[in-house]
Amino acid sequence: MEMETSQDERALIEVRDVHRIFRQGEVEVHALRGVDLDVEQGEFSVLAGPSGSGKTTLLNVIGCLDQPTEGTIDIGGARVSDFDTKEAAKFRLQNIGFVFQAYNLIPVLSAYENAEFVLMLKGVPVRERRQVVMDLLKEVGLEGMEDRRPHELSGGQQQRVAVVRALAGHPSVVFADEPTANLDSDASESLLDLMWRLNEHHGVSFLFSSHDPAVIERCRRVIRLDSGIVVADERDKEEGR
Amino acid sequence: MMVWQMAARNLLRNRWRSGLSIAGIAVATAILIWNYGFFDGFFDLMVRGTTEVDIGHVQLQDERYIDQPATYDYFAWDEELQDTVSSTAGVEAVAPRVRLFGLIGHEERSSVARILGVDPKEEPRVTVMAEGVRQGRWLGEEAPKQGAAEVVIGRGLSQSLGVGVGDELVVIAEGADGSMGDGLLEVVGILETGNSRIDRRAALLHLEEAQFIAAVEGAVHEAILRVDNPGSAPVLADELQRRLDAIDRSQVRARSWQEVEPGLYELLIYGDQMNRVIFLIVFFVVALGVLNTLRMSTVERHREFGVMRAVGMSKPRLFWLVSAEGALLGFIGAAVGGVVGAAATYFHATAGLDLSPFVEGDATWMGVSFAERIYFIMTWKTVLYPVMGLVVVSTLCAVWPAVTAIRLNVQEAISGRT
Repeated sequence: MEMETSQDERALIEVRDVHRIFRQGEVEVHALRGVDLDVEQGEFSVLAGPSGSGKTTLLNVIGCLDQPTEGTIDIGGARVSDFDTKEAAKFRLQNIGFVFQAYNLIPVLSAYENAEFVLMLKGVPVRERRQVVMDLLKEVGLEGMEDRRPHELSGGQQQRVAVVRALAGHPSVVFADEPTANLDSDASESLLDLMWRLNEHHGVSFLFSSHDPAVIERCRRVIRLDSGIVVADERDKEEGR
Repeated sequence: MMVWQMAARNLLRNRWRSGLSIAGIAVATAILIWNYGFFDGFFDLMVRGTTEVDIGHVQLQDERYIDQPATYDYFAWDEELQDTVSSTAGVEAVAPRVRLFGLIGHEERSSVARILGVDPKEEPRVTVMAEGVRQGRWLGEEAPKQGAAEVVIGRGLSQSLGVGVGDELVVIAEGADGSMGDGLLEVVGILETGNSRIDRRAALLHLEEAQFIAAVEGAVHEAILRVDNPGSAPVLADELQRRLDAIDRSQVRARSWQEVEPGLYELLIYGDQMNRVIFLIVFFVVALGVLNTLRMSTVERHREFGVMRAVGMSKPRLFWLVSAEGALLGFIGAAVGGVVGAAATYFHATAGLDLSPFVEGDATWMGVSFAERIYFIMTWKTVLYPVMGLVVVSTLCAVWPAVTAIRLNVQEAISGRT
């Protein structure tokens, strides 16, 4: 389930004519109406748009948390839109990192244990796990807080742990759904700085879903959605640091 | 992070809820162990009270005597028969007996008695009657050559006749040939076995003396056997019957205690079934409590499960995590209950449980007196069955919550819409 390594000609993520229809009884809701999208390795992009525009739905189908009703999605050459739940879980573990809106750390685990959780699932040896996690915790400024439980950390600190968890498994892309929604402006700025830095240092792609202007301003590419379709794609935007 | 460690921490998230579930499992385990030990002790008392005091594990009798016990339905207790019986695999000891009813009198009082002629050396190897002598002594190894014959009588008979050790009695009984046999007896011991059939009416004489009174010299009415495994007495009885048939003594019937006392045997089976029903009821009640705890615990954590699945945790691994919580809950509860239950059962296995406050007078059931203490029986099964049973029940209770957890829609769980 590893991604193909020779991808010189292809984008990291290729979304082709993706539709997603939710059925609620007799009612059909067309959340995505034929989305086409390419995301290159190392991008720092955001899916922007008003509530109900389909940005979270698109992030979920690209992130293998949901399947499109129609269309195809390839990540690193793998046709992830055809995966069953087992294959999708394995692919997510190996190739994708997630940062969620509400931190979503596991309360019974310490910051360190939360961060190493993905590595543990991958079967990485303890010594190697420790090295990777401690380095990342240091990099995000949480050195010395590794034994704290989530409730002993601030919102910003919890989100940093979530970022470490997302990056610990060396994914090729991190999906972040409204990562700053529960943070104050200082914490948001600080988190975005961190993600920007990690993007530059580690070369990992970040794809956000957000309507936070702070996030949109910081991303190099803004993909605007409305009513389930891409209405604008602003590439090579000046980074506004 | 090991699954067990996470399971333990999850149980600690709501200490009261988990604590109450563990307490429930512990109390149930302790009660089941105690109950198991009590019933085993109770039924063991009944079986031993019947087999080790009176009927033995296997009986040999003339087939006519079985249908209608009569003094003249005896069989020859010759060397060939004795060898055949003794050499049967599983037979540990054999005691021949003469049985008859007679009238025993002392001065102005007389009473009907169950006269038992026994071999004073062999009888203690099969029954515990000799241990039941409360006053005086057991019959001497040899019958007195002259003067009064020795007799050991039950406590009830001694009271109804108003006699004690050293008093003389007269016995009159009808012999097998229709003649009236009589004899002069001297009370050498008073017997109290816990078996009311013996304690109320029995008069034990030397075998030769009883043979003389019953006019059945060289013959007996029954031989009772002690076997190495009372539970398999029916199998041994069948084998013995084949051997008796082979020496042309098919009129002598070998019957196990289960056949001799079918009521007692059925009671044991009924008791065993009742125990299973009690187990099932307790398991069911515990299961409801544990299920409630685990279900509540998992419903509160849908978002967490969604995140675990999103970051790549497989369904089997998540299933195992939730199941481990049920198993751990059951293990801790059953371990605590196992220790408490085993301690209580061990105490009653050694010190006994005095039932006299709960029974009126000399309460007996199927010939067994419950005026004394009941000694519980504790084996590895007594503790292991309830402990293992409740661990399994608790683990099974986690199946439904675990299935719910793995079936969650990941996106809905993460967004808190479940």
